[in-house]
Amino acid sequence: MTDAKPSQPQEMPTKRELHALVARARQGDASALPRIRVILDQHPEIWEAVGDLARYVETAWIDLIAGDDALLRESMKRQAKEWRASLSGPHATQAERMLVDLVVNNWLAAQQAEYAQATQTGAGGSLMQASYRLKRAESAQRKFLSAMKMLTTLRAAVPEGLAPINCLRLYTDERESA
Amino acid sequence: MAWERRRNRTYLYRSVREGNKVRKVYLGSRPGAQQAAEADRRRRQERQLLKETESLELLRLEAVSAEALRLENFTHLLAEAALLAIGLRRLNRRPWRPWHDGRKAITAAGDAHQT
Repeated sequence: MTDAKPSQPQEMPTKRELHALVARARQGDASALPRIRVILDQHPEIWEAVGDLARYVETAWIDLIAGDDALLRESMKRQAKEWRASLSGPHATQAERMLVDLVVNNWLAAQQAEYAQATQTGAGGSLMQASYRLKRAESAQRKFLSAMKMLTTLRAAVPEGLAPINCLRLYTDERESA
Repeated sequence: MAWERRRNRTYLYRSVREGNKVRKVYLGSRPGAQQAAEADRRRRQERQLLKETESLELLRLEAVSAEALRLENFTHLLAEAALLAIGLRRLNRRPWRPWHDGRKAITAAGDAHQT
């Protein structure tokens, strides 16, 4: 990982379209699926955008946790890298990598909340502030577990990997069985 | 804490709230009380600084949390799209299952694309 700070990613039109298509598919409109596939397969910028956003958020969490402590910063960076490597494995698909990024970011958020709770609880402040910190720590923990669950669900649903290879496999299977 | 002038002399008092009442505690006159006043001023300054630092931290935290929420929504959207794109569907928060109509639509679109 380089030391250059990633810039804040912007919204993109493809994302808005994808949002609308997924909403249609949720309602049972199967005609939205081919376009969803086209967007996922032919618009790599959408995967790049989510990757950029993940890197930006990761740097921001590390900044918040470590502050001016260079040693803690480096340690957090390395831990995040190790987490990512062990969760991704050697042949992660784009969707898996994206979910691993989310898991790592939620882990950092949980670390930040726990750290804030531990360091600031004894340093004065009102009961309301302590309660707010506790709630935030619990919420961060829940989000981390939810991201983990989603990654597991994705791997269980599609053990051989996601689009485009798996799409082709499903497509050829159906053609052969027809 | 305030200096009060009484009979051409200044005295230092500290106001202390006790329930609904405010009681004034006598701290002394010059120059002995000056040290207490100075200590009080320093304490107030430190408290103010701590408050400002905390609110700044809170602002930074809110900014990062907003971006983290954006990332979470974006990731969930893409993960859902990826599962739909391979012909799976999820009804009422149940597990993801094969969606026959969806797969037909994907196959038909593939055929149309090839011809």
